[in-house]
This record gives sequence, C-alpha cells and structure tokens, in this order.
Amino acid sequence: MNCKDIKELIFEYLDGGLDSENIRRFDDHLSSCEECRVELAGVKSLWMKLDDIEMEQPSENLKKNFDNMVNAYTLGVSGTRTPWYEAFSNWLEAWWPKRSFTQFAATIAVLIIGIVTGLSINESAESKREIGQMQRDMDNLQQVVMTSLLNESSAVDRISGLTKTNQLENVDGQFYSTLLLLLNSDSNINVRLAAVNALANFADNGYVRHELVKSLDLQSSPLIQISLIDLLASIKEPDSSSTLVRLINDPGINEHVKTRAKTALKEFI
Amino acid sequence: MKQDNEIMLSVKEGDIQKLGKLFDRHSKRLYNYFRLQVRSRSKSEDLVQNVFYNILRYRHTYKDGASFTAWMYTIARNEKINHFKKNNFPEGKIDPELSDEKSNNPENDLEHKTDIYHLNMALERIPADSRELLILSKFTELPYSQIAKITGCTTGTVKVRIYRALKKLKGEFVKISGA
Repeated sequence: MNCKDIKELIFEYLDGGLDSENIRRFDDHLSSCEECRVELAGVKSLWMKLDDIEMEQPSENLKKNFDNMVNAYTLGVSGTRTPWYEAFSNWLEAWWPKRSFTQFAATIAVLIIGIVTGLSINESAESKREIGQMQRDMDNLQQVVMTSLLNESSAVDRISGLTKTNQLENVDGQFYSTLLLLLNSDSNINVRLAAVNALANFADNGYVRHELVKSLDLQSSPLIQISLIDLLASIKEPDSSSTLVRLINDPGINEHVKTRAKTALKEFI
Repeated sequence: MKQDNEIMLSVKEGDIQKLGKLFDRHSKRLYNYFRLQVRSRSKSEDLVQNVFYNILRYRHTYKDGASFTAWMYTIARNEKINHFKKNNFPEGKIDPELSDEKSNNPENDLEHKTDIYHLNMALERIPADSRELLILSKFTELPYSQIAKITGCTTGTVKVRIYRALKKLKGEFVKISGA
C-alpha cells in the first residue's frame, strides 16, 4: 500500500470495514510512514469529537403541531368518504350548457319555471320546507368548506376556502376546531393569516376567543402574532392580558410584536 | 428497522394514528439533521412537520421491505433542498440573520465547551454536501449503504467522501481554533 491507497481506505479502516489482509497491509504502511500516522490520528480524533456535538431536544410545540396535523388529516380523510355533494355537483355540471347564449336562455327558463311553480304552491307549507332546506344547505356548505380546507393541497385553495367561511352561520365546534387547526399547524403563513381573519368572524364565541389566546402562545411568526394581538385587542379579550405580558417580557420576541402587545395591553388597563 | 417497516405499512393501510410511534422514534434525530444544516430551531421544527405531512400524503408510495429511515431521510433531504431554494439562499452558506442559534456563543453560555463551539463553526463553513454527509453518518444511525442510496452513490464512495469531508472540517477547525 502507498500513501494514496491509505487515504482511500482510511475511513474504512477507522470504521472497522477492512478485512484482515488489508488491515495488515494498512498497519504495515503506517509503521513506516509518519505522515500517514499523523493523518490517521487527526481524522480519528475529529471523527470522535463529532460525537460531542449534542443532539438537541425539539420544543414541545413540535409534538403538539404534529398531533394537530394528524388529527386534521384524519378528519380530512374521513370527510372524503361521503362526498355525495361533489358527485351531485359534477352531475349538474355535465348537464349545464357550455355556450353562454344557451346558458342565459336556460337561466331565464329556470327562473320562469321557478316563479310559476312558486306561485302555485301553498305558501305556508313551502316556507316551512324552505327553512328546513336552507338549514340543510347551510350544513352542507359547512361540510363542503371544511372538507376543502382540510383536503386542498394548494395553499391558494385553502385560503380561498377560508374566505368562504364568512358566509356561514350556526357552525358547530368541529368547524371551529378545523379553523384553529389551520391557524396552529398549517405550514403556509398566508393560510395561517387567512385563518386569523376567518376566526375574527366567530370571535363572539367563547371557545374561539379562548383558543385564540392560547394560539398566541404557540405562534412563532411575528406577522401572525401581530394579527392575533390586533384581533384580541379589537374584541377586547381580557384573558389575553397575561399572554401579552409574557410576550412583552420574552427576550426572544420581535420588537414590533412587543410594541403592538404593549399598545394592546393599554386597552385592558 | 423491521418494526418501523411494519408500523409504516399499517399507516399506509389507513391506520394514520400509528404515525405517532414513528414520530416519537425519529423526530429528535430528524430535527437535529435539519438544525445542524438550517441553523434555525423554529425552521427545523417546521421542516420536521413537513416531512411527516409528506409521509402521510405519499404513504401509498412506501414499499414493503424498504428501509423506513432511508425513505424518511430522502423526503427530508428534498425538504431541505426546497427550503434553501425557496429562501433563495445558497445551501453552502448559513445566513447569520436567519440563524437563531446565537445562544451557542460561549460568551453567552459559560458552560459550553469552546471546542464544540469551534467544531460547530467549522461545520458551518464546509461545503453543504460535506456537512450533510457528516451529519447523516454521525447523527442519523443510518448504515453507509443507506446513506449511499439517499445521496445516490456507492457505499465505497460514501466512505471516501466522508473522509474528504472530515479533512475539510479539520482544515476549518484548525483555522478557527488555532489548534
């Protein structure tokens, strides 16, 4: 073996990957070559020293966000099992005329049929049915929006889904959880911002307000922190004062966030 | 690990909650794989989250008998490459503005060993591919044959490259510490 061979095999030697014949030849060369001995010692000591770089423990948020993500994903997957409204919408779309003139004519025809039918039906029975139907439509809309939020892989689609949430009323706890999951665990900052705006529409709900305060503790992006602080200040949520104080005193927090937190805190004092 | 393979197969078949077991086993190493290259704790946590999200999304592509760890680090490697691309920052350099690892300065942390601090600095200065090879071989417990698969070369080449990476690291370490 010469010095070039030694350099090619040095790591294999260190790692114990050489067979006995090669080890013997390697050792033979080392015994007669000072330069290779020094080289081996240097590489070996640095290789061992790398073990001293400590593995850090990630923060608790990582596990929390992971659990949120898995729960959101599970909800999303189960939501795709009964997409009857999608099938219905596709069926309708297949019937819908492609040319704009025909579309216009079809719309007018449907309108006339609707008016004539409406006039000929008993009004009180119809209004009861309408209310029931509207309620079902709202439930379905909530389902559609939720499913789109959890299944859309593109951030633009998730944001678009979030902007539709202001059309919803009488939503349930599961719906709030979906928005909060996006706020706390979506990987895209614009989606998280859109989630703050969407949740602002439901800030009269106690659970939402409580979770918004909790979320402020979880967020690491200054932009989200600021928009949450602004929202909590605008709804004058008194429970957020202790979190605001924590942010102001935390040396790791962005100065702009601190200034905003101080301004918001004045609202409660 | 055989157990990882079995758990991943359950996840693939729809038992999504079992992913938690794989997370508990691997998230710390994966986090450090990113942290030592990206040098931002919060960004590293985001990247770990992305890896597990992608594991869920692409679970149907996982093959029975494959090494879960090698598959996971292949996804992680792509995430890291995308991260540097998205931030328009050359992978070989670490942006001091983005780094939130300033607390590792020995002036701030009296107990921290100066040697380790210098070694960390040296790691930051060597080329990105050398740094990644050292991190993969030291901190992930992956066998060289799997590192070879992930990095697209032979096991023999991996070992020679690790040696070269160590030489570069030594050069930088000597410059920094004056040792």
